[in-house]
Amino acid sequence: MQTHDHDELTNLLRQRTWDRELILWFGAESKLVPFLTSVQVEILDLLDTFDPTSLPVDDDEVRRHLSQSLRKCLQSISREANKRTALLVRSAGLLARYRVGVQDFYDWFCNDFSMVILLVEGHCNESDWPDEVECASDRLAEYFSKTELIKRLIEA
Amino acid sequence: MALIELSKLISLKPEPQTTPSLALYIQKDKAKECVSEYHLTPALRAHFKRILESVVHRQGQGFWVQAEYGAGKTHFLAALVDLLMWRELDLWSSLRDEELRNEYAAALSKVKMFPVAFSLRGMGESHGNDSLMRIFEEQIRESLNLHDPELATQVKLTSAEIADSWYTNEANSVLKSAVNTFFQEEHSCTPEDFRSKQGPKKFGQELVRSTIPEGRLKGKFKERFTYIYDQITKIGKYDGVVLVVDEFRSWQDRHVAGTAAYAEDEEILETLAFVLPTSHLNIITIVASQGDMPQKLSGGGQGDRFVPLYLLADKNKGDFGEIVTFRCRDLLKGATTDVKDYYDFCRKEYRFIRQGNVSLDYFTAIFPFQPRTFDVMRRITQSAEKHNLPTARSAIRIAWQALSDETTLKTKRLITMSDIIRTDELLKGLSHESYRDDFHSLQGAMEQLPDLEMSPDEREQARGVLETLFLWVMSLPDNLRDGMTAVDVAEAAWLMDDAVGATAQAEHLLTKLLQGGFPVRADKKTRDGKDVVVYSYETSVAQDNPVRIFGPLKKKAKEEIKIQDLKWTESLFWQLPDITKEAQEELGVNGGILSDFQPHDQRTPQDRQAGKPAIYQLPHTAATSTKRVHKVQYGGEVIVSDRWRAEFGEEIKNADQHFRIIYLTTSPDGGDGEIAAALKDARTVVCRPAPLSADTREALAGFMAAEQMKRNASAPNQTSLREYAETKRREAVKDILKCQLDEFRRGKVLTQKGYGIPAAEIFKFSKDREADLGGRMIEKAYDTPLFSPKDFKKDFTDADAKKVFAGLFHKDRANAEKDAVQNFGVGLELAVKSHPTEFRPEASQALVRMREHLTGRADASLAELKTAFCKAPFGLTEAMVVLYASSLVKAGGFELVLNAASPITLANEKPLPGNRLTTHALPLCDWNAKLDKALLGARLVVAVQKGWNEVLPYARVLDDTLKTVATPDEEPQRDEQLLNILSKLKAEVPEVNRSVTTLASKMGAIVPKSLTETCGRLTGLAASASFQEFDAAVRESYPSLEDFVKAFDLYTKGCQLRDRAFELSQVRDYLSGACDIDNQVDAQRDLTKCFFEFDALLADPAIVPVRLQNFEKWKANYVHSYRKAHRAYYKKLTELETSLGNLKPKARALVKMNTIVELGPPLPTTHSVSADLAAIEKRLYVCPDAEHAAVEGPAPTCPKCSWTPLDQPPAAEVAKLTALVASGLADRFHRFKDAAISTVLKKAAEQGDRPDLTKLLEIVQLTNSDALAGVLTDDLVDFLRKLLYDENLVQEEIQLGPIVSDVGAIERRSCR
Repeated sequence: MQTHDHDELTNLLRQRTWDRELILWFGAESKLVPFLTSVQVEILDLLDTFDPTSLPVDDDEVRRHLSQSLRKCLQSISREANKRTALLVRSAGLLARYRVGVQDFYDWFCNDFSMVILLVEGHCNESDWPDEVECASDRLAEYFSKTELIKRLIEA
Repeated sequence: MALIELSKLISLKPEPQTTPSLALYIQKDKAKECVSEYHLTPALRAHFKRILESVVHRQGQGFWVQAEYGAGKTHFLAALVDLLMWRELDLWSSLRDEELRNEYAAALSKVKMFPVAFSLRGMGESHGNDSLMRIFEEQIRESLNLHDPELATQVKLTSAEIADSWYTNEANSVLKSAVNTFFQEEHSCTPEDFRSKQGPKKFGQELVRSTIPEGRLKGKFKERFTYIYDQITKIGKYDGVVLVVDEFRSWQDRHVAGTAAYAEDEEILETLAFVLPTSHLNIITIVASQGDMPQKLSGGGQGDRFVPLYLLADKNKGDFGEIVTFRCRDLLKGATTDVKDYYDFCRKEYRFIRQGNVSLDYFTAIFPFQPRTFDVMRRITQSAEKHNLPTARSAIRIAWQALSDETTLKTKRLITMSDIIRTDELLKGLSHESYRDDFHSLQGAMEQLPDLEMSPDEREQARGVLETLFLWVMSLPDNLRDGMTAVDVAEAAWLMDDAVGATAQAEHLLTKLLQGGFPVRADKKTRDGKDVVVYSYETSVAQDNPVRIFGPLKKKAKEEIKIQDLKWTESLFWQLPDITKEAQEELGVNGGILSDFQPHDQRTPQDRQAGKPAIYQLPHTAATSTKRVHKVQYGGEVIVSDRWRAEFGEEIKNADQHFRIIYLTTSPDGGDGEIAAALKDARTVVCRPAPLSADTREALAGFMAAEQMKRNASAPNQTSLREYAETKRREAVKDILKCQLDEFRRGKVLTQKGYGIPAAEIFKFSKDREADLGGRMIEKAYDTPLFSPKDFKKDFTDADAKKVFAGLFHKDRANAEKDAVQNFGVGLELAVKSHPTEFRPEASQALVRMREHLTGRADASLAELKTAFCKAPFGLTEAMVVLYASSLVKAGGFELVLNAASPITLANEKPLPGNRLTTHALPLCDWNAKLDKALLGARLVVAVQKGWNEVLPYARVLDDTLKTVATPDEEPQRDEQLLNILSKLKAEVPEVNRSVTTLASKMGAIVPKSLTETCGRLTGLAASASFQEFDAAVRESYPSLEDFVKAFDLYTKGCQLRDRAFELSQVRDYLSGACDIDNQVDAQRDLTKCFFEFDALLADPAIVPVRLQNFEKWKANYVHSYRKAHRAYYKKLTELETSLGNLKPKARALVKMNTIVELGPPLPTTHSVSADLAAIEKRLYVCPDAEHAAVEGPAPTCPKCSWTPLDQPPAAEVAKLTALVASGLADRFHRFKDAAISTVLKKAAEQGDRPDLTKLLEIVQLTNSDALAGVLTDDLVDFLRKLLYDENLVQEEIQLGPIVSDVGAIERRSCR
């Protein structure tokens, strides 16, 4: 998937309506926020969907929990009629790690006036890792873009 | 007619939501909204009916809903699913389609379908883990949880669930035991414990992992879906299942045709839509996609597999406007009357109602939009990829945004194109890079409108005209250029002028715009047979006169001689895409004159973009060939160079190059004489063009100018300039191609010997130029070919050489190989006309020459042979040299030593021994790429392996019937014969060795070392795999033939002994076992024994029969003597037995009498009478063969009794026993006669009770021992003992000796 530039995001946010936009923002959240001044912003941190006192035990459990919690969260986000809203999703890497996909965003949130921006912050520094550890810094971007889960990939 | 303003006729709906989510729209609380907002056009109604018919009739079927991006597929699916799913909500009353409601509401109320509806958008796994089956399972599970939680608990879907159910309900004891073992080993607990701790899902997953229930789980999609369907319909009491899949395109895009995932998709969908419904499973499958249905799923006809349902298809183009308008506005109550006024007005004032056959219904449905507005919207949004606008979705937004403009709603006119151009949605599309520049051009034009001298109203109309023309042009396909007439413009822009009319007003405005330099273009065209002026928005700036541009460019190009030269060179290598189709057809060429030899172009992409001349790396060398001479394909080389170099003239050194053609791209500086003098090889030819003529330079300049003009006119609005430039370029290309031939025709063809080849003959429109030139060179050079070209039946190529190789040398030959020998064998002189398919190289000039070349040399490299013969005047090709070298090998005496670094494998899959291609290996050797590689560096050597005839003397030692060979071809047969002999020898030697060793041992000897050694060596020889190996082995084992003969002779003797070993062994045993029977016979035996010594017999096995004869003679004597002695012995025994018969009753009587101890002790000597008698009786056994002992066989003594003369009759023992019995009886009689005893006995006898006692007393009285046996019974003995005992008469006998010694001497006197 082609990486889009900031102008693309600017133009998109200028539009009156959207076509079920789901964007992957590859970079720091702080760099994204200035673009979002013209729209209502909601924030969802996927880590918040977990109860630290009773964490699921295995991947299947996590996947099921994450999917169910995410759906509930998306359905509960209040949106004013025809007011454009952007949902910033933090810890989006969990979606890839537990193979949750992004179907729920499309089903329950993205529409003419609501878009989702998945946040994947920054590249890791390869020199930080010992030799025996291989750093696949673009693994997350690949997961989301190669399977065409997202519509656009924008690098900070 | 007074029209009412729009705001009084319509009410704007809330801004439509145009991106529905299937998941959301099939929620219970959204269902009503979804259905009520759905507008069913006739086409959509037909689609609904098609699906609902299947549902009502409970006939499973697949439907493929296809439409572009944003055409309303999801809304279609959602409305359908809601109507089927939420029966309790009375959704039918919300559906705005009475026809559908009347036909299906009641019927569908009786059908209970289980819904599974989902979108694939956002699903998908990386790394190829996508599985449609898995997604179906998950979605069915989710649907069960959502719609029927009770049923959900009972239905087993996933492999884990099925496995869990299998264990609980189906698994037999054996499998349960296996499961138990698995859980014990893996989890150290029972399956039940695991299930209770981890839950049924984990338990099921573990079961799946164990593969024990695999048979239950391995069902294909059909079985899996059937299993699921049965559970849902039977347990849940549903009439069927409706499966709805949205956004399938995103899935399709990831699964390319031919992949496993694609195959799974296809199979699953086919199963659902076709396989299961044909098995009477009521499954309705609806798939929505932007993409085409996979070919396999389209089935053979209507109703088969998936039925396609196209939304917004061309034939349903009216749907578009209806749907869009429906979603944006409602007509106010009573508005239809006023809408009709609009309709009538338009019908009167404009032509579009009549021309477009627009009905009042349609006009009402799309009111207040001018129909052309939808034409433009539809076209602009039809290709989302190009315009970035989803189709119906964008149109709905555009229409809604246009209607939401209050100013517009206050007008009394239809909504036109100029109204929609200002909407956000359309601006979004026009901001796309495809339109951006042109849109900017429009905006620029708008800014210039105030400069026009016209009223504000007119200016506003002019703006509308510009926008209308612009949108019209933008909506047209790239390849279509069309405009609008003034009438069209008037209608589309809703122009009005009460004074002059709409059309005149349009013409007026258009004229103003044209005169004002606005980007409007007017073209005269014919429509419906009438000349009309067509106006279009000129998306580019005004065009320059192309001639004015081209002229200066060409003038400049004419002055650029250097660039012309470069272009000339470039043109020589033009390829097919570089020239025009016209030139190709007219001139019959596919490129420049040297297009086949195009060197690498070193220009960068930027240089190419800038139109810089090609930079070729010259000189450039390429390969070519000719078949024009001797019917042989000769390879050659072509060198293309921009200048002459002395090295081009050097002798051709490569054996695979038979000629060299040098094309000079420009006329050389030096003279032709200088070049001709530099040519060292008669097979080299140089072609040079003449200096470029004025015509050529004119054409080149035209070409350069055209290209430059094309580059300059790259702007989108310079189409006509580009077209002009392209026309000029095409003309120039054709001219240059003609000039190329002319220049070379005017040039010269130079050869070493001045053959005088006319350039005009060579340079014509021909594709065989190099073949012609090469042929001419070779024909003169190869005037003494070492083969007979006239006998070639076809042209001979390197490939044919390989076929001939196989055809001549292989045993199993393909037809093509046989044909090759037929076609070329005689011509190559490797066969003769009378036997055209046999290897008969006697007449081969090439072989004679090669043998001469090799005379006195042990070897020569193949490369050397190639160099020597692939040249004038012999004319052999490399392949021919290989073929002839192989023929030398085949004929015998030579071998080809191949490159050891490239070992080859023979047809029998064994490696070529020693990398030496011998006459015997040839039939097993394929001439392929591997052999070609192995031939690099190969050497032809004199054969080191001996032929059969040389090995024969040694072989004949083994079998003297072996014959010599006349040709090497017979050697394999002889080899086979020898190997058969060796094979037998291999089996025989160990057996001979073992047999002879046993015999020697029997005869008290040991096998000589020489024979043991011979056996060992023969075993080694017998392991030889060929006669060559045998030869090598035998010569190593035996220094000379004589030694081998001697050794094998010893072995042969051993074999002879082995053959008589049994007889000899028997003889030896007989002689050893024979007893001393007669002095003379015994002496003869000892002598005979001496004749049977092992060493003597091995030394001369021929004497064995004589010795055996001697033995038989002796044996006859021995048998006779033995039988006589044997018979005599038993005669004596018979006599003794008779005398013993008389003694036996007395002996037995004595034994009984001895038991009457009351008579006194018997004589001690008679104690052993009984035993002695038994011993003698035993020795008196008579042999059954006493008269004729069977010693004529292998046994030297009687087999029955083994008698030897050492055994004597027991006569003395019988006499001794007789005496003993007599003395014993005398003693007993004496006891009876004792007075006391006699008295007692007589007294008892007188009682008369025992007559036997009386008889006994008489016998005793008479001492008649012979009569005792008849009287003395056991009863009488018992009576006597009792009688005597009762009388206390016990006769004790006391030894006096001990008493006397104890008491001392007793005086006789005192005793008295």
